[in-house]
Amino acid sequence: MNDHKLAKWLSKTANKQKLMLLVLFLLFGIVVSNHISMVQETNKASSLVESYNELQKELNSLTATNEQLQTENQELQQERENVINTVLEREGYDQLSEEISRIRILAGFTEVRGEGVIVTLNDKPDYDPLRDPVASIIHDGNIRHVVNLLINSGAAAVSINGIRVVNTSGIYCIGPTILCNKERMTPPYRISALGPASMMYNAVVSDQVINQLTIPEIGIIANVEKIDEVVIPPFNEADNFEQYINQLEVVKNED
Amino acid sequence: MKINAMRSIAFTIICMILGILIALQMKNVNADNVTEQKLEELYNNIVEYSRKNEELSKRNAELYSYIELLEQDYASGNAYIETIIKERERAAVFAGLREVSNFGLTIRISAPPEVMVRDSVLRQFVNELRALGAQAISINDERMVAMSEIRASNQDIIINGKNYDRRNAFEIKAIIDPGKEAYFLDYLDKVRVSVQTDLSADQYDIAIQTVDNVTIPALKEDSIAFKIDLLLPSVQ
Repeated sequence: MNDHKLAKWLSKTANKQKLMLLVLFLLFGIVVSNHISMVQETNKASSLVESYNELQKELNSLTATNEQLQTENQELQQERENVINTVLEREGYDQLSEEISRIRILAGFTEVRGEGVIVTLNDKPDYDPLRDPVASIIHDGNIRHVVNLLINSGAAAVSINGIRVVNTSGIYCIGPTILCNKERMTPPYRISALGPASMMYNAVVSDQVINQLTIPEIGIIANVEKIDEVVIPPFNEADNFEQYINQLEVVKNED
Repeated sequence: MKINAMRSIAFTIICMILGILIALQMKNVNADNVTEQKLEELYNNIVEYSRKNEELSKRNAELYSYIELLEQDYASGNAYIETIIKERERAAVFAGLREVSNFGLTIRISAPPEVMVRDSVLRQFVNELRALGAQAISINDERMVAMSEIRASNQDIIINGKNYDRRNAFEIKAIIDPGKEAYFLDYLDKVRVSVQTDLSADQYDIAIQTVDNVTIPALKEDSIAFKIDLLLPSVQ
């Protein structure tokens, strides 16, 4: 009796294994045939992938170099300021030293920090150009609108994605890319403003244009937060600004 | 027993091969995401970063030389003060603290007496001028700086804290590179048409013309547009 049960059980197990093998081989067959049919496409795609990976490596290396050069540039600018201040103070030109510092602050050549707000604008999540209205992605006009709101509410310094807004800064688009100071910007757009935080905050949260953009049908993301110490970086061409004023002839020198 | 072990090994091998093949298929799917357009985008980024790095390297080399020159001049008692004053002056010009003049253009915006000029029109022209590369801009002789407000308040437009009647004409002046005159005029004319079309009810009269010598006044350090009190204590 027991032998009979054992034989039955063994037979059942063998059937199960056969079934599993069948499924596995079926799957195996499908995957192999699919793989073979994709070989041609794969060759083309993999050559694209190879080129992409190589270019990506090159870009990574270039961005790393760029970061190093930027750091070096900031350090050199700081060193230049230190040398100028030391020399002037040692020679008794304290007033001139102070004046230079003040002018550099007003020009936007220095980092400034203090109370302020950060407004973040982003495209509608999962934006679909076939389904969503064109207003569901951030345009240059939206950024300008927020910057103007902040300026009109008392902002003393503004930056967009770490790019300082200075006298010559225009915010505009070329095709799908938004530029400021000739730098390309990509969403999300973080607009930082130093100034009266409550006034700027209220101006943004009560603005009809922004509120309209955030309705579900449009779906733009707009967040504003008050910050105890917002950091506004310096104009990144503070050592290379002559190109922006080379046509200006001074009429009346202050000295 | 032996048969069972063989079966287990066979299962394991088949599962491993299957895993490898599925991984290869996934790789193919990822490869499909790489398009010619993405490749071109990447290539453009590389070109842009190469240019940026070349420019930054040059700027850093110039900064090294400048620091060296300052130190040498100071050590030898030469004209280092003149160098520093010259640099201060150029920074002051950039900041908008000096009256400047040169070749430029004027944009005169007016409307019928019953229409009030919109602040948005002034802001649009100022932004376009900046984007085109204007080097100094004023509205009604108020120098535009980074934080200059152009804001309508009832019957006035407030510019740098001063009120200007919206029923009067506004005059924007800008100093531009004479080599780009045609480019400026062509683009600004399109802006003019766009404003006049979009706001046709306002019946704006917009006149744009180049001027051999435009003068743009300076802005004083204590102007509300600089908000120096907010900037000074917070400097790093």
